[in-house]
Amino acid sequence: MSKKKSITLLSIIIAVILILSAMTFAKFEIPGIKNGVYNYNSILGALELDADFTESASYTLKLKDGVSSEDEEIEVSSVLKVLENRIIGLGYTNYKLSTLKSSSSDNYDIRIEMPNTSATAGDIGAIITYGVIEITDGDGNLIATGNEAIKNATVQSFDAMDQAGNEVIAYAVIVEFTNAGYDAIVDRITSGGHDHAEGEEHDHSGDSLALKIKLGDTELFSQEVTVDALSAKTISINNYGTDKAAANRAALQIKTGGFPYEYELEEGVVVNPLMGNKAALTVMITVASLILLALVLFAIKYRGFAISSLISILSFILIELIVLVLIPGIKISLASILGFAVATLFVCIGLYVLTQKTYVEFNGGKTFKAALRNAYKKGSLLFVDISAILAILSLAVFFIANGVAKSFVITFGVGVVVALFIIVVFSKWIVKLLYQAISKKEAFFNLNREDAE
Amino acid sequence: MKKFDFFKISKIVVAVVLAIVVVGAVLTATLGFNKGIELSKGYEIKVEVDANFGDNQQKIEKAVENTFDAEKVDYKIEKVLDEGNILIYQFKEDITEENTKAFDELAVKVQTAVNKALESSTVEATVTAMEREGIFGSSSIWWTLLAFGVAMVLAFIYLLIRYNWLHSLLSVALSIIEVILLLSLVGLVRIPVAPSFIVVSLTGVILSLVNSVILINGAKEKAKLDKKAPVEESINDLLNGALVRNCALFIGLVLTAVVLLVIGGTFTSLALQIIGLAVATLIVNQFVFAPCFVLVEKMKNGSK
Repeated sequence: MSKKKSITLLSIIIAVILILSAMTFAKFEIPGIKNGVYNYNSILGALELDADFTESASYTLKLKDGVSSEDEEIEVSSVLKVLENRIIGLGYTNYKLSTLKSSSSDNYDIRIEMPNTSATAGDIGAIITYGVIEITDGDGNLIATGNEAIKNATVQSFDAMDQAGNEVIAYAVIVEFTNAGYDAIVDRITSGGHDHAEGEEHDHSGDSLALKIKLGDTELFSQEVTVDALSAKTISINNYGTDKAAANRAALQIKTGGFPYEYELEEGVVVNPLMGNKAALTVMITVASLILLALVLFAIKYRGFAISSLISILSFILIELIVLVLIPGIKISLASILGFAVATLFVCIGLYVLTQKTYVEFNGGKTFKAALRNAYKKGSLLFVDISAILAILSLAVFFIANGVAKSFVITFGVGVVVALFIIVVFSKWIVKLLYQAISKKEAFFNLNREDAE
Repeated sequence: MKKFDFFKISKIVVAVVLAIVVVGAVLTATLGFNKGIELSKGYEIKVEVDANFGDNQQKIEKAVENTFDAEKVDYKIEKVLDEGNILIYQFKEDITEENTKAFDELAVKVQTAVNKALESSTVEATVTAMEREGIFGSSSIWWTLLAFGVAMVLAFIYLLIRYNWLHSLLSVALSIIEVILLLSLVGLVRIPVAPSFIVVSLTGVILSLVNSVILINGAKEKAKLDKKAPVEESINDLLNGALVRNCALFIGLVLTAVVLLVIGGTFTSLALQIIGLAVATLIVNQFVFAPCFVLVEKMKNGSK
């Protein structure tokens, strides 16, 4: 590639990085737009912050009046375990539970702190709804309880039209019955109100029954069902529209039943960010300062490589940020930022190792271009290996663990994939472009065989 | 540049590591971990007023903290709730009858002091004991341990395909040693353990895996170039090459910890854990690797 082309390409890359960097932080009004989105709120603004960095909600659960933990033999650790499973079941990863006991009472209160979203209050309400899931007929006669009749309940999305005729995604809960549950419901349908002569064969496929699924006083499902409609041993509850949170709550309640302890919910209060208002920014500035310091030190020995590394690291940070914005549902907590920081550290280690390898090859008597080619050839396989191991680790933790570990590996795992591209492909390309673009190559890359390792 | 002989001091370092692990394990077994406020029992004083604190918040905080200073008690966490209507102070203390009485009395003093500072508002200060039994994602720890175990087995299998079983075992073993050393340091120096410790431990595993694979790969390349070179010599060369990288990593982690310590508050325990991580990573990556690798090479040659 000619010097002119290299300079042009480098200029374009630097311009893109500068524009994306500005877009990462800048917030401005888009001129000329009257309807729709008219405010640009930065790439960082598009990331959803978790309770560490934004206000959270605090709810206190108190045992219902007249219920005593001693009389009912309620173990607070068991309550917490059930509560925790149900909170995780609704997809929360960053939450805090504390038990509190005043000197004037024998009962424990439970405090739940979790991200403050529009769904939080409803979610907590659903989590602690007391009672047993009952499947009844239209008159309220019990057919079976959820424990014996329901195998699973999952949320499914489907395309639908809203009232204005726009395409939307709607949600339904698919309830799967156990064999015993299915038999009990079909028995009730087929025996309900039909008199047949003894020994007479009758086709029951069209028989129907008003079926209800209730949790305490809350009706979760009420619809006429036929034996035919139940043939797959499932029913679909379609009355949630586009409210995914409501569908999730219903699925949780149907699958796991009611909360087995009678607690009452006190009105929630908003908690200021647990890590302070500016903690997210402070942590990011710290990481950025350390990267800059490392690059300055790097520049002392490897000079021009520090510039290629700076471009590579900035590109990594920007690409990862954009990927995180594009993946729906990611919430940034302290653990996520640490995952991001460790992935950035991995990029720094990768760039350092490949630079070192290039100098070793160069010292072995090769030309700079050959040294670079050889170093990246050997190094690429090494970093594919390392990235594969780190990706395996991230996937194992993502699928098995929860809480802070999961938050950490989401940003770290995404970072490992982006890092592999930056280390083995992008950085080599940038070094090559710099090599073509610079006139005094020896001085720029410190190509002195005596000095180098 | 003069080369450092890592084998000269590796025996001393390994002995020190073993001593840290033994003393740390004994201390942890007898005293348990020094749990941070997020994981330990304690008391909280809730100060509730009938109007928003607004401009008065500083006045109230000052009144509360002056009372704490006078009574010589240190709170660990302050939380502001309900747009300033509620302030919560949490203390790490054993829950005993005596302490409950003392905190009840402290709450009365706090209430009086805040009432004085806010003449027209109704102030209520209440005390509750915080039990932490089975909370804060206790199941998370077990699930993370299981995930860690599965990840180690999968990493071993991957490395087994790419390298040989002894090198695979070495990489995985060094990651486990790193976690054990980190746990021992935390137990020995009584660093407060918060939920973020799971993340710090995972970082230790990652850094150890990255370093050991880089060094094993380097040793393999060196062995290809010079088959007769003694393993100690080539490992020593590699460790000298890795010294700048590992020292930079150590300094970077310590500087991060220093910044977090300056921010203080809830970051303090994380900062101390990161210092533990920096020390454990430097020791394992730079000093424990050498004798372990030589041992593995001897086993490999012996098995041929």
